[in-house]
Amino acid sequence: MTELERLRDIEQFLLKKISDYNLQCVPQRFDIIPDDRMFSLIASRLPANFSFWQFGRDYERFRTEYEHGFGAGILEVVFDLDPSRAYTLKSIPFAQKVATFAHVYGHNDFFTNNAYLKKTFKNMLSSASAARDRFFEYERRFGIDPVEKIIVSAKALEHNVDPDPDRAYESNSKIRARLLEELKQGIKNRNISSVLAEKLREEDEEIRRRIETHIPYFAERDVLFHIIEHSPLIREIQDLDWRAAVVDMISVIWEQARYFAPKRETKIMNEGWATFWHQRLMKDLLREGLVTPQEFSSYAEMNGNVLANHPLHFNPYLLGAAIWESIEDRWDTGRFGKAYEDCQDAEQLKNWNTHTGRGKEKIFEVRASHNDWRFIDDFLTQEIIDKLRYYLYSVVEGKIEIDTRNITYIKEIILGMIGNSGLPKVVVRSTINSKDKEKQTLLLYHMYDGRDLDDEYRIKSMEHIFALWGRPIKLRTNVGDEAECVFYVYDGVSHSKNTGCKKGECKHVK
Amino acid sequence: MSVYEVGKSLGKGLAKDVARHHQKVMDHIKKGVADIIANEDIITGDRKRKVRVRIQSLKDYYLKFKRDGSGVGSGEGGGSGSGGSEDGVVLFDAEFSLEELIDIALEDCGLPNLKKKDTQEFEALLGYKIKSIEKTGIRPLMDKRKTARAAIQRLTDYLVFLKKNTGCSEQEAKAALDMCKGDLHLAFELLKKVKRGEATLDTKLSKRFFMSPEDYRFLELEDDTEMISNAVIIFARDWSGSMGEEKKYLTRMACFWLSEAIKRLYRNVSIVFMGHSTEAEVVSEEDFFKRAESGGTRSASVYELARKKIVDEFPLSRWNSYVFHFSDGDDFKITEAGQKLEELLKLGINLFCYGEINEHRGSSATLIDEYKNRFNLKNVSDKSISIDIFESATWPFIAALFSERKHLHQLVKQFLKKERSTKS
Repeated sequence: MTELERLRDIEQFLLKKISDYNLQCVPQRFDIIPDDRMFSLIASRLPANFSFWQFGRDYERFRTEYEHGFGAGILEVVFDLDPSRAYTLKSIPFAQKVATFAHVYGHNDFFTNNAYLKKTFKNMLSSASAARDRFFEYERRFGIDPVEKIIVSAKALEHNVDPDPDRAYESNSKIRARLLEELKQGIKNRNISSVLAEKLREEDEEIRRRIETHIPYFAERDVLFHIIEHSPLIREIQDLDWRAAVVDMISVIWEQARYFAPKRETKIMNEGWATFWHQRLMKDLLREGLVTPQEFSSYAEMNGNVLANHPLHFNPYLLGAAIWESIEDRWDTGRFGKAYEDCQDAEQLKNWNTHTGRGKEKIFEVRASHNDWRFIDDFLTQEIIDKLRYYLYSVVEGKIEIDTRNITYIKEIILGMIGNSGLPKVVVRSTINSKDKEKQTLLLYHMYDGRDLDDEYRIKSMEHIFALWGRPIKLRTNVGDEAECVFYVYDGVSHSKNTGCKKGECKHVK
Repeated sequence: MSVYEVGKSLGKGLAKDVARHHQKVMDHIKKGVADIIANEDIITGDRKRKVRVRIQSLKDYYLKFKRDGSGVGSGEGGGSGSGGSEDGVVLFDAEFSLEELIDIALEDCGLPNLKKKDTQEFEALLGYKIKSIEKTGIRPLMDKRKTARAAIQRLTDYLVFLKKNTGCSEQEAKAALDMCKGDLHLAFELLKKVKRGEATLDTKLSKRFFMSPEDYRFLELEDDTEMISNAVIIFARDWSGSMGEEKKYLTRMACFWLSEAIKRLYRNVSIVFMGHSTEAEVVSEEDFFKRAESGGTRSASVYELARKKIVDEFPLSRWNSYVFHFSDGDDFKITEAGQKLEELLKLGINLFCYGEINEHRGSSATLIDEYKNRFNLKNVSDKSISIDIFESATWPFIAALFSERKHLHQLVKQFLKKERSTKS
């Protein structure tokens, strides 16, 4: 029996098994591919994606790392599509291929059922390959340099989209009409004396004026969307074909960013879930004799690498899998709820088991409803931290020093690292919509949480945003130990810095 | 859904992305080339010596937090904390030989106004080109695509033959060929036996492909040559007392780079070196770069010598001629220099370039002032060039004012621009 035939048998077995376990997957196709194909897939983010030199750079980086033997050990990649597509390396041992199959079904189930992912656009493959053809056409018609400039600038904002899959995007006029209607209804339904109504009139008028003049009316988290909708630079492009091309290219990058954003927000859960299930399924396969004990050892080695500790980072596979196991165990034994938490007796706690048996039910419930932030916040326990030997460190003179192993601090740091995908939260501030060029400055507010922005990256990012907006860019943030309030300005020529609020009295920091 | 094996390698699109990234990295390196050009080590150093160039990977910029040295790790702690590398800042260390760096520095340089002279053309080797496709050859030159096509063609012919002569189906013909390891004769016999019921076919195909020696196709190469006209280059430099150390250095470097560029562009170029103070003489390359004399300057002498040399040894009917002259512009007899230069240009030489090294341009007139008037020079510098470049509308004349090492790269590029509007 050839390897391919064996893999097909294993696929059949896995399909039966996952339905026994009640994993709900969309149809799954597996491709066994050579190494360089794998690097090119990961580098271009999606199969048959549009052409861009950064993808070429990443391809070379993966390949170089792989050739030097310190690669990330990529074995498989799966794309959230319907039907789902997964790719496995041809060069790895049989049992490792099998493990990637099992792992992929975990992802497939997660993609299909998690609240943050199930609404993502599952037809991304054809969308990307259609974009690829259009982008080639733009390159041919308008030249590669202007096309690349738009792509690279839009990509600088790919993390500044709204990751909320339920976000309804409304046009500005629609929002305005809705707000005005709400205001009108509000005034009509007021049950107050005419004297008081007269007094409130001025206030109402102020609100109405604000609704009519401000764009966006609410602070806008999706900076890229705001640019597509309102950029004066794009509006002023005379060549209509080129204008359409620019809007199209930014929109494609926006669409892909929206597609990937929820995946970043569920990475720990998703990787943990897939790991949790591949470990189970591999044991089943061994028991069934579909994988021999000799072969199994090569899987065991791989599994060890995937779940390795790192002195400087936390491993999402390890942490995620540990939390899933912990949830299942706790809800099987009833280690949750008021009675358990109030219990003070160490002996009793150690042997606590109410035979609740709700473990399976609970993990399926959590996989459908949570994202990483809530997952960590709700289910990370001191026991898990002790088991994984997690610590909080700081580097002092090049040496790692352990600060604490206490959950309170570690949880806070992990939540900070995964909140907003570990990136600064920046919003477009509401400003008066003006025809006056001077006043068309894009005002961005960084929601400061104690962590400063990286200066080199901020400067270059502002230049990229300018390349799409065409008017000065103003970015408010705080800097340094005393959280000094500053406005950075880039006007297309030079960078400058203005002082914001008075020292120690910054009204932007809560 | 199922499991498939895909052999297809790197997509075409990504190959383009890789090439485009390379190009960007090379552009990056080229920006740093001006520093390399101004470095004397290059002239004196061993050409084969490797220079390590650290190439910064091109970053993706986005708004992110400043890194600090803390985080969540796991294990027992201890060890050094430098392991957390910045996200891919350094891509790779590339090694270049000096030769290669010189190549990069001198890319896009050429001799302007090169005309085909009637006689004394010579062949220049450019590389190789494909002459033909042959059935025999050496393995490294095998053309895989053509080989595969030939094999498929042959196989199709076999199948057609077998079907026609035995009346079997295509599937049977394939199976028979497969069992007989691609041998047509044996397959034919086998099919006949099958027809008679003496043998059976194994319907499972082995998926192997049997090549025949006649399928192989090889490339036949030949030298790619081109006929190129004759060219003579005359380098002239002022080695008088007024040329200080730094000016001497700049002249030497400029001449080095120009001669280096010309030598690698045209194999059979004749180069003549001339130095002058008040009198000019023809010298060896080594002497040219090393010599220094005390005394005054009379550029007219070198123009006169160059004119004589061209008339006597490199008649313009057969030779393209280029003259480069470097001076600090101080000259005893400015007007005479202008007259002599005009005589030289009147001969009909292809190009005359004059580089004046003069950091403090005072009130006293220098050669450039005389030339500006006499030859109607116009400043053609734009934003991309930080030195003053002058071109004449009536003569094949380019002049440059420069004073610093960092100007050398632009000087060479401007003098050796391939396309130029200058009249000849």
